[in-house]
Amino acid sequence: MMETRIILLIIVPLGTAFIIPFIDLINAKLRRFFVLLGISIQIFNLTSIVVQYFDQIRDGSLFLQYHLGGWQPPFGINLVMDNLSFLFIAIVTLSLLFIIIYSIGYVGHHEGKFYVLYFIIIAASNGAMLTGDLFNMYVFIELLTIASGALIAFQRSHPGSEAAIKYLFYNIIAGSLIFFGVLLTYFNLGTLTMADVANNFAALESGIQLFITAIFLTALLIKMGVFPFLFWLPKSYDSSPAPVTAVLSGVLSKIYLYLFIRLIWTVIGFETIVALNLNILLIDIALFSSFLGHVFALQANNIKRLLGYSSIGHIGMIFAVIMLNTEAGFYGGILHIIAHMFMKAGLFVACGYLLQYTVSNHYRDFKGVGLRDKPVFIAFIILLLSMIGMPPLLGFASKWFILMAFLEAQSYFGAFIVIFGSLTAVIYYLRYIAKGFEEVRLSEDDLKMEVFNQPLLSVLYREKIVTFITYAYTAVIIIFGFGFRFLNIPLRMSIESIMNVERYIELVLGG
Amino acid sequence: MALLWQQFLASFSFESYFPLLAEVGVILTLITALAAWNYIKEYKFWYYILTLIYLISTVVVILTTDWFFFLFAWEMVTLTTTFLLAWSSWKLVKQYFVIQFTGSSILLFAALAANALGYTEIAAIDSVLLQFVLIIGMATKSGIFIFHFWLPPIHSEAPSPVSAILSGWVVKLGYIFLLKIIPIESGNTMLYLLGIAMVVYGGWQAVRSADLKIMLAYSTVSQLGFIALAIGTGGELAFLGAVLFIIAHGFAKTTLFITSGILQREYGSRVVYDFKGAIFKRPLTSLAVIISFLSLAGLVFSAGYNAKYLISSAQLPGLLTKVVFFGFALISAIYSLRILYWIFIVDEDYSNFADKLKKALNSYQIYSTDILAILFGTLGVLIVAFWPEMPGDMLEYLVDYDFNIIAGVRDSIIYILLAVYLIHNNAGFKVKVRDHLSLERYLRSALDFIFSMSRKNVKFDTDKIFETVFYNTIFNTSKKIHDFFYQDLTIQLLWIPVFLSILLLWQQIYSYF
Repeated sequence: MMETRIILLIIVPLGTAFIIPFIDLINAKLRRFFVLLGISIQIFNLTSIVVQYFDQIRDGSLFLQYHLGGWQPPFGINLVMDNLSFLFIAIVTLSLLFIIIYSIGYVGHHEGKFYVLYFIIIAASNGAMLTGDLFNMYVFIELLTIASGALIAFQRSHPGSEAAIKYLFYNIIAGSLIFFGVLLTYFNLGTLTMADVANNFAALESGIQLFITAIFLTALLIKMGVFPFLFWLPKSYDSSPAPVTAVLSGVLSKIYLYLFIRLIWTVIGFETIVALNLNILLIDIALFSSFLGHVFALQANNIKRLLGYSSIGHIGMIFAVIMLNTEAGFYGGILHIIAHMFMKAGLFVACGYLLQYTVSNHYRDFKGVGLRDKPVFIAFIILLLSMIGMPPLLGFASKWFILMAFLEAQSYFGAFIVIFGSLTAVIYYLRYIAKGFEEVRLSEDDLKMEVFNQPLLSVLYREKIVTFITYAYTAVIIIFGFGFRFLNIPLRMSIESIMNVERYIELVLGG
Repeated sequence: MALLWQQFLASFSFESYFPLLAEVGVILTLITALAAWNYIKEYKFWYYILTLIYLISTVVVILTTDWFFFLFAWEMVTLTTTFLLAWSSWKLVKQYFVIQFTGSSILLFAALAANALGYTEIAAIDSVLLQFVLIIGMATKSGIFIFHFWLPPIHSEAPSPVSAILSGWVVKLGYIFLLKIIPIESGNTMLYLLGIAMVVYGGWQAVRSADLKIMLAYSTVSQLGFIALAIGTGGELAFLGAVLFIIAHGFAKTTLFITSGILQREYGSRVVYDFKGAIFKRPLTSLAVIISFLSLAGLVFSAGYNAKYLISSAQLPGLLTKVVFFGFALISAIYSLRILYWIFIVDEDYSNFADKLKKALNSYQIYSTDILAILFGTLGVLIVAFWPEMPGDMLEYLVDYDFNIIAGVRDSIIYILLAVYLIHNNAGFKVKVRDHLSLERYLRSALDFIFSMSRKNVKFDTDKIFETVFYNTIFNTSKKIHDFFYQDLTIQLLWIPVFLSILLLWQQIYSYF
């Protein structure tokens, strides 16, 4: 069945991105209206899909396709939405909506450029999640990399540019590896449609299978920031402005996790990984990466860097639990993807507000932050508690399922890492909470420092929006913490669509 | 959510004596809520909100059979009581939270282990090893010996109504949990021995304290020992004894902590030597104190006697157990009667009783809510004393049970005579007033002890030591690990070819293992 609304999910943000510069020429204030219009059309599109296909979403038979140019799958490019990509698009769009409202309040300078890049990210992330074509996926990944690289350097400060260069260095290497993998696939199989590749991948020689798999794995590990390649991540999280960090940590890493699931389970096939014995290696690497992330976080003297390190810890954990290839593993993993998306984005968003008057993100400057903006700081603490895994919050539910999945698979190292992560998180977060409640006694030198080192985006134009979004994230965490069973059906259905690869192949090639 | 709610409702079990215990828990909480009405001045609204959450959570803890809801509700109990301590000081909140958090994690681990071994519901657990893990898990929460170290400082420093909640009911939750998981036929020997240690140690410390609230906290440890001992014994009689003891001690301790709050306000002091003319100034309070202490002492016609009689008659018959239990009862009699001796007998002149009662001057205006709280507490003690089967024959076994009152009277007279003799001869065990207990001092003395081994006298700043040991070590270690992995960019990038070749050569590497 052809469904035009799918391609609108990509075209509308892309179009908005190209319209904004022209709107700027006419009237700068109109821009904000168009930004909201673009994101509202996006939300409307998604809602109308949900309303029309509600029954299919519930029983797991959702499958929408769009053939670009009318070419049938093995030859043309196709866009596919099944339950897994639907779930991811829904949460990513919700998170991006929150962040764009936040940036209306937060970004003051060069707003137009910011929105252009931001809408390119929206378009590229939706495209990367919807596409059923390998080369198309590569294009969208490159688009994501370039747009986010520019956003990291958005503050035009020395550390910002440095971080962006490092980010681009790593991610372009990863991009070219993906390109190389796509090329190899094409030369060996003569097709780029994911379903067609999946159909024929097992017939390949095992040496070539290994080579393609290794290249894709290395590239995705670089993109996700798992152990040997985690070095770019904290730096770029630290030096980019708050909404960008929220996008990087909350959205982009989750998109790469989605692409990882797509590539490994749908295209390459988990059996291939098992036959190559790579699953054991990958689980251990991921868990080690998680361990390192938490250990690094212990020594971080910079709140944003600390959150970056803890991201490494959480992503490693999700990666490992997904690699277990059990239903419980996927359940915990995807639930934690959702939880981590909202918690981390919420934390960075709150950080952006809390750190607006401080000289730097350093630990010593965190002093008294909690006393200055008490309600926001309390929301911040709730989000931190959720990261630790405090019972009534969403973080607890997802960590619980992950722990159960590890115990069920008798992977005790994994179970240890989950508990170790929670305990170390208590240590490194409590330190900052205590510092936040310390009273500040300003000396003259401090005042001078504060006056001369005003950060670039120190004054928030629309403070209420910024705090509102922080509370919104906290509310999401609390509400889903109590009602995480609302997510039961979407999670079960998306797990079914991960496991049932034959159905995907049949529907793409046969339909 | 609806599923969760159904599961939640289905997990309740209203069997045997647990509904009764839940009722008692609710009544005790309401009593403390009454007492708090005038004691708590600031943020009263939040105090009562916390109490409400606490109330619901305790009922869930007692009645649920599902591990998840049990753990969740217990965490809520811990959290609410933690924040109730904020009306005393934030330092207390932090300390209590850290300690209870540690306890919770052990309990969580134990519950997971039990769940993994096939005990999907909270019910009798046969494996002794698992029992051991679960006992350790609830040890921190319920003040089992060695893990009780936090109990006296926290219970004595908390605001009086909160002390009453903590000492009267929160610590009992662990024993109610043990009543569910220890098989009634066999009991648990380790618990029995720990109980003995608690009775003796808590009793000894209670005799050695001059501060009323500290003494009450130590007597809690001692009395909890009886419950642990009863559950450790096993058998229906002993378990009923434990239930009755939980109820009796709950009422008595709640009343005593509330009265201690009133006395503290009246005299501006917590030291028992200062309470002069208490009976004239606070007649009702004094009556409640006397009745509750007699119950703690386990004298005949009191709640404590019934419970202790059940427990001791559940033991193996023999001279040794008789002597040992006689000793235990004597310890509680001594520390209870000692307080009564100091408050009501030393330097008191009871001539012109009625006259003095009329003339006495109060420095603290008592409120009707306080009086109601005390009266309800005392009523509870009296009900357990005279109707041990409880109103409505909740404990059917005890309806026509013979509590052997004649022997009880005989024993009580012996206890009183012995206790009076000992107290009189030792000048009322008068001890120096200790400073208020605090966990920092414990840490300090432990460190002092360790360093005194090396014959060096150093003064310690405990805060700094805590920071050094606890944080700087972790910080520096992780810094080293961080620096080890974070080399410069070329080496960071070198990981990419290295990782790729590891993946490609993984078959060969794998075949070596």
